[in-house]
Amino acid sequence: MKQLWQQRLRQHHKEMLKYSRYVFNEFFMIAVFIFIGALAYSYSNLLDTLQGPLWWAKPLILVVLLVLLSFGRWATLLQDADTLFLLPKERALLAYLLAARRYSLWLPAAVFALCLGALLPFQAVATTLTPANSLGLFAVLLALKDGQLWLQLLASYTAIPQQVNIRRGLFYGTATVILAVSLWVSPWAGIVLVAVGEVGLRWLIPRILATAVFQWQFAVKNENSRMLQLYRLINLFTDVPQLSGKVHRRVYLDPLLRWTKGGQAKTFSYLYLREFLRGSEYIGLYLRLLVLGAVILWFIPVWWVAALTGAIFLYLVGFQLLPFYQIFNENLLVHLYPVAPIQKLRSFQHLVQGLLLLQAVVFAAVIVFNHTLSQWGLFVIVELAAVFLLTQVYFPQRLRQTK
Amino acid sequence: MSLEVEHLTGGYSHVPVLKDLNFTIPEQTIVGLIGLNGAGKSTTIKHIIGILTPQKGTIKLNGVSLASDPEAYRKALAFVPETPVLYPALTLREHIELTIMAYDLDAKQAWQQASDLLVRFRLDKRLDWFPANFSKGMQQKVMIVCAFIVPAELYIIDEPFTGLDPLAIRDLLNVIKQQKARGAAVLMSTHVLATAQQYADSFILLSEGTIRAQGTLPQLKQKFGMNDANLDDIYFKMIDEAAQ
Repeated sequence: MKQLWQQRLRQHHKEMLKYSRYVFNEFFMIAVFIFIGALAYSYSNLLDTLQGPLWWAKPLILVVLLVLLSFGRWATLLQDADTLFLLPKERALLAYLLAARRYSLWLPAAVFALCLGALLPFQAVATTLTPANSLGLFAVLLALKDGQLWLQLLASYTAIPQQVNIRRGLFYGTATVILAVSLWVSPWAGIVLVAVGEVGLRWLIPRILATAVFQWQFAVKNENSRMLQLYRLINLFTDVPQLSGKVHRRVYLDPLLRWTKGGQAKTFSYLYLREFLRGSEYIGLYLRLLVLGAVILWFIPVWWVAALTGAIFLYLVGFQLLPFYQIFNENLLVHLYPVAPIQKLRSFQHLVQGLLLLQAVVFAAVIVFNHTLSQWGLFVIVELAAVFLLTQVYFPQRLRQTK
Repeated sequence: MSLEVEHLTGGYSHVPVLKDLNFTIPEQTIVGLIGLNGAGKSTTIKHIIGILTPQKGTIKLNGVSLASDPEAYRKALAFVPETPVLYPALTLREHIELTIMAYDLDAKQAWQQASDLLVRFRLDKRLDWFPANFSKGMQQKVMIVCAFIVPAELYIIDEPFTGLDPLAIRDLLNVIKQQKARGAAVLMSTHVLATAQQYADSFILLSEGTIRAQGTLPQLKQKFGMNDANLDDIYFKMIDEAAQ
């Protein structure tokens, strides 16, 4: 079981490494450095204006610590199939779960250290707390996290869905008291309290686990939702296959669907627009490139460079959308419809044209702020020409070569 | 004459799976397509619905072939696949709307038919759900509803009974009978021989890509010289003969 954990962890690291290459790409890193620099600069400016001690400093630190405490969950790396294949190994699974629990402490520990470090200058100005206090706070925070992870492990054995929120409330209530004691009385008092709690937990846990049954469904569901959060974060930067197949109803987009009502000729428009708006992959791609293009255009002062960049972005988006044409090829029924094949091409053409026009409108709206009216007019003409050439000439020609 | 298949030879690659099939399905008849796994049932169906092209021979529906008038041919045909094929991003209501658009149906009439079928298959409360998340049996029902709102000349149903509950099987058979009474022809492939024997007017027994026998039950009994036999007995006899 320990080996299984090691293996899962290796797989997980490999996967995360793969995604981190996309997330932490050069542009993003540059942006992050600039952002951190700006943040540090305004932080130090802010500190210059403060005159300590401030009555609200400690309550603020308490809130920050509580938010920090909510960071990081018990990562079990359990998979759906485990509920079937690992069933006979239920007792041995505990070793796996314990290893997972220990591992789950590392990331929060690093985040706590960083954030407490970042708070040091503030507390030096605004409170009477010393760096030694922070060390004590770190110990208290980590011990609380440790307890929280124990409780999460315990919950996967004794889960009663109605009690999840009550238990969470109890934990955060206790944590608030202990952190308040550490801040206002002494971190040592906090450490003593948290140590008592820890000892109690460790005494209690083996006794509860001895007769408890592992709640497979509950544990796997939790892990899936944890991974989903992670994937959603990554999905802001790149496509995650686990998410790409996902379909969302997105009722708020339904007004847009009115355009596809009508006769036989609109059959494929009906399909394409719904698939586009409710899927994840292509709409995500479109929005990412749209935002990126708009941000870049904002920083381009010369109108013709902006126009050219805009046109390149129109081409990029359109080109990335081309595989969407074949999205229904796997569906047998599509081949049986008594609809002329040319209708499919036309419907797709309309979709891409609509999307590119919308993109051009957004770009034009960005450009209007820092250019003269005539420059703006020329920009619009170039973008419209690009949309026309791409959707009426170039893309249909390319699509006719495919099926 | 509804469907006429003459000298059909075909398959996925150059090696033909089907060898010289000849059969007709007249209007107002239900024909059972029977054979072991791999006998060529699905390949035959794929040729008729037009996603495979014959290497030799012709397939005509009401005298029209797919090549001569694809839209008329496709309009005359409705298909319920063995494994449900659904659009993940479309609700049940939208699946029906799409079928109405694609087959150019009269919306009012088709919706009337659809609500009748939806009630019958107990789907009427789920119009705004995604059928892609339904159970296999319920997805099958969605496919049935979408196929039978099309007033086709020929219905092709691949393995209709697997995954359906007994009530749904009964309802499906009633729908098939209604369509037959209206004048449609029905081709269904199945392994459930008892049901086929009860509801089909005639049978096509396929084995290794050729038609071993076809006709009504009395005709088959005569051919195999088994007077008291049911379809099961004849089927097993055919397989045993083929093995020898």
